[in-house]
Amino acid sequence: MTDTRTGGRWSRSWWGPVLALLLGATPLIGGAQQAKAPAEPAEKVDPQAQRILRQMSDFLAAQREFSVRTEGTLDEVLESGQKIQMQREGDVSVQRPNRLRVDRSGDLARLHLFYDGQKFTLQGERANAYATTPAPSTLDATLDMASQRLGLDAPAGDLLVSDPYAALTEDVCSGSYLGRALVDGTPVHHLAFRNRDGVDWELWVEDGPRPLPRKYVITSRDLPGAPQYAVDLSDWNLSPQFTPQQFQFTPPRDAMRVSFAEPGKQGGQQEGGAK
Amino acid sequence: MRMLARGSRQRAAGMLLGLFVMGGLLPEALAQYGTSRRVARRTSRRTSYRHDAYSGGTSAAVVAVPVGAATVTALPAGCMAAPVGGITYQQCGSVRYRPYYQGESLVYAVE
Repeated sequence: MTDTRTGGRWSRSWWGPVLALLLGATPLIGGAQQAKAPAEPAEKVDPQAQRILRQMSDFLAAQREFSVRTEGTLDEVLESGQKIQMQREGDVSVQRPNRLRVDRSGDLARLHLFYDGQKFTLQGERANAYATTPAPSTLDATLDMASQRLGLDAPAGDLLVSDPYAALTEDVCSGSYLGRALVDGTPVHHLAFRNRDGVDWELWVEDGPRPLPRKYVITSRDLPGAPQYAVDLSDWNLSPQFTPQQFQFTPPRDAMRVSFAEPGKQGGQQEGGAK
Repeated sequence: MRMLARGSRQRAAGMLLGLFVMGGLLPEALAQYGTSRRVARRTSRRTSYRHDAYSGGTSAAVVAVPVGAATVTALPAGCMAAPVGGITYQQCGSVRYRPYYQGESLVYAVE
């Protein structure tokens, strides 16, 4: 086709595509820069959001022991794409540096977690079963172990570690201060953060002399359906009367002892009960 | 109640809400059919874990389910508890199951 054209017409007819290419490429270049932006250092954290997050973290880290009531929801996305919301509520007791007790009930399980500084136990009430494993000597390491070796994720575990600020901000690329709000009638500051690894999260921090987290939402934005975990944190008790027994597990006489299954080492033959 | 989870695997999703009402079976159903993707991750995925120095050693507490072992999330009717060495196996006719906590879900692997 083009070989029948004169030189002048030929070259002119090429300007169109060339121009289109150049123009078309510009937004692409812009897009590439935008896509790269979140990978840059955490310069886009609003100073006020950072300050309030720091206050909350320092205050929480300074509490040697506390208990808190949790009420929340956890989304499950089915293969069909349908999103199902599970409810859960519980009580969390922490005694630093190495005691944890969780009593939780909800759609997914009615369970208890015990960590007494030496052993970590999961007890399921419905199955009347329990599994116990030796545990590291600190709560921080035990939370990591539970997540990594036992497949037990504590989504809000970042609030329980010895340095919540470091845990929460490790992967943050931006943060905003969204203003004042009310949670359960309590005045709070509303903060919103975005992480590099596909997680957005929001925190509502009590406005006043006790800058405690009152609500926490995690959105896994890179998963289909962008499922969320949301929890309200109420009834903070910063001077609880704990007994050592609260953190120790004593198996009921008729309970079934089982092992923890190591995650990721499961044989590929899960057949459910469907066979 | 446990028998419900042994229904058709194709209708798993449809049965979910029904199981919901039955109570207690939902986690099994979800785990069983691999239909769930949990949101539940902490805000950050650590690149290095603090407990790397910690070695759990070899312990019966955390055990890899044998590769290829079939697992179920609900037992057939008529199983008998059979404690051996601190672990409560379940003898169901000629098949023996070993229970594990897989995360928060109780599963049984064929021995």
